[in-house]
Amino acid sequence: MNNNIQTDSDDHLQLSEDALNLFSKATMLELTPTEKEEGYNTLKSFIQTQQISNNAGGDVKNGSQLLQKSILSPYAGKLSLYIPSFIKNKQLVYAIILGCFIFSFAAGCAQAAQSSLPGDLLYPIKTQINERVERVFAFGAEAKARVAVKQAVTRLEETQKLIATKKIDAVDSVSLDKDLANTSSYIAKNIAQLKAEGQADLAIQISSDFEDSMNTHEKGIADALKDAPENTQKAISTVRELVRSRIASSATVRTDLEGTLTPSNKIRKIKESAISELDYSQKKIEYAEKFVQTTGVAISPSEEEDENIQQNIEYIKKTVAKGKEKLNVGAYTDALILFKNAGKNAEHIDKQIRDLNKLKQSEKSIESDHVAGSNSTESAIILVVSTSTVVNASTSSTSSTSISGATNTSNLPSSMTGQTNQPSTDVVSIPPVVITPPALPAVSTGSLVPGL
Amino acid sequence: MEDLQNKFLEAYNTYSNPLFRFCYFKVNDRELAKDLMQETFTKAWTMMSKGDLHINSVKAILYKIAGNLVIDEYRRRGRRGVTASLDTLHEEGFDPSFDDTESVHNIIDGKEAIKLIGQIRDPYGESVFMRYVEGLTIPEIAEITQESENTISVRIHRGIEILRKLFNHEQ
Repeated sequence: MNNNIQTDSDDHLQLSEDALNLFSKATMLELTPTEKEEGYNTLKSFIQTQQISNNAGGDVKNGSQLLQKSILSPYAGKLSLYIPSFIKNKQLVYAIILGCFIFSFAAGCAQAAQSSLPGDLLYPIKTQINERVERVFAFGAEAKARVAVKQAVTRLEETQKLIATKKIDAVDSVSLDKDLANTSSYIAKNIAQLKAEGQADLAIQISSDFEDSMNTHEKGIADALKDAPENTQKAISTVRELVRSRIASSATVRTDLEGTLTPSNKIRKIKESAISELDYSQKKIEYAEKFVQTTGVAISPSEEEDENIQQNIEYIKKTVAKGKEKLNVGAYTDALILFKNAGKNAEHIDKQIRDLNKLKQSEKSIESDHVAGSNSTESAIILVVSTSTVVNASTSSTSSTSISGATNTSNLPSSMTGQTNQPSTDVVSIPPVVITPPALPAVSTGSLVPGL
Repeated sequence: MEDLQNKFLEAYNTYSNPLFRFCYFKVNDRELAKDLMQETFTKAWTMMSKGDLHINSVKAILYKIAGNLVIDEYRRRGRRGVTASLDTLHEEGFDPSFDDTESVHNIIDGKEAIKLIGQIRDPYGESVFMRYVEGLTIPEIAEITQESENTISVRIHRGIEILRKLFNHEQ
């Protein structure tokens, strides 16, 4: 046997004759000509069927023909276009059809633009048209402020997505700073309006929500900074700093608002909300810690992920401790923000742990089934699953939407990042079968922001 | 549109076999691999007709869709329901193993070869398969798996090392 394997570079490994032979044989597996032809014909029919259903929706070119077919009177002796008597002008009918087509096209563009990011073709539609329309149709100071908060948060989400997909160059930090500054001023203006209308508690709530959202995204950006390549760290730091400055100015606005309030039932309500959030996050932490204690160290397939879960639990506990300090000195809104943050992160950990627990349970049942059923004493085939995580912004379906974001939405670390820690033992072994569960598409080991 | 259809059907002619092999590598079941490969193309066409992807980027997208369909299948039916068990292999009268030197060198069937490659544990096995059987480049594999090129290179290197040990019966 020729064992002449030399490593040159990853792309130029010199393979042994055995390996080359093996790979060459592997390529022999193919569809039979009949299978291939059947598949081709099936695909062709599918494409044509889809084409027909798309055309039926409004192909302008064949619009008149479709119109003829759809409203032809079954009692007509000859083919003729029947138009209701109140429509005198045939051209008006065609114009209406054209208008509907243009409207649906525009609506489709607007809808498609919603998921666009800076640098995309449809992004200007999102910011200049969709968001402007949203602002125009927000009536009242509260609605205007909430829309502005939502749009500011969208800017931050876009930035995080660009960072996660290694497109930090597409982030224009000057524009982002300007956008966030303008939005913050707009929010502050409407909050002041709310205060003038005697709705200071609502103003504080909106301000707290804004601050809370920015804190969450700042944390996400900080996490991304840790893993970022060196050449992008400066750019990401710049973004993080400008988010922090927005948080500081928003905190100032909120504190000023709180300063104008007198002790009242409204303050008591904030305190009650803070305590309720504290209870919620503490319960989630208790569950997470209990699970870790009862199942042992290996929660997930990788030690790195385990460590991250532990670290995140510790971070949440520290946040709760800080919140308790604020609660004790009467800074109820600060406490509420901290507890809300802790609660969101604890929810994320809770879901992560529950999902991992389910996988472990199913892994155990598969192992015990195999041990009971197997009577082989020969070498076992170890079945492992390649678990590329889905790159997807929306994680609703791995098959239908997983490609669009690649996401998307985020580049979630796959469970394979933990593989470097695995022992370098040989694959062949005696039963039981070892199965590595797939990584969860929605779980990020680094960030506590769900979905990223 | 007709041009797009023709190009897509041409893509089927080009990639149906590689994708079928890829699916077989994952599930070790010929019929299932065929079904998954076919579904990959129908899903890709559905996305293309909505404008979600372009014909130029179809290769990587097809592999990604195929990979995701495999994962969905695992989740739906459980690992044991999808992948071949030892018993099934024995029924086929076939038991590939690096321990049996003669059988390794007497492989004449692509299925057997793929099953042997499957003994390289993932993610190394997958990377080696995609590189040396499917003929994908490292950047392509990186795009498909959403990993860095460096990670893929390392995996290929380690996978080849594991393969060398398997051939040499090293533990």
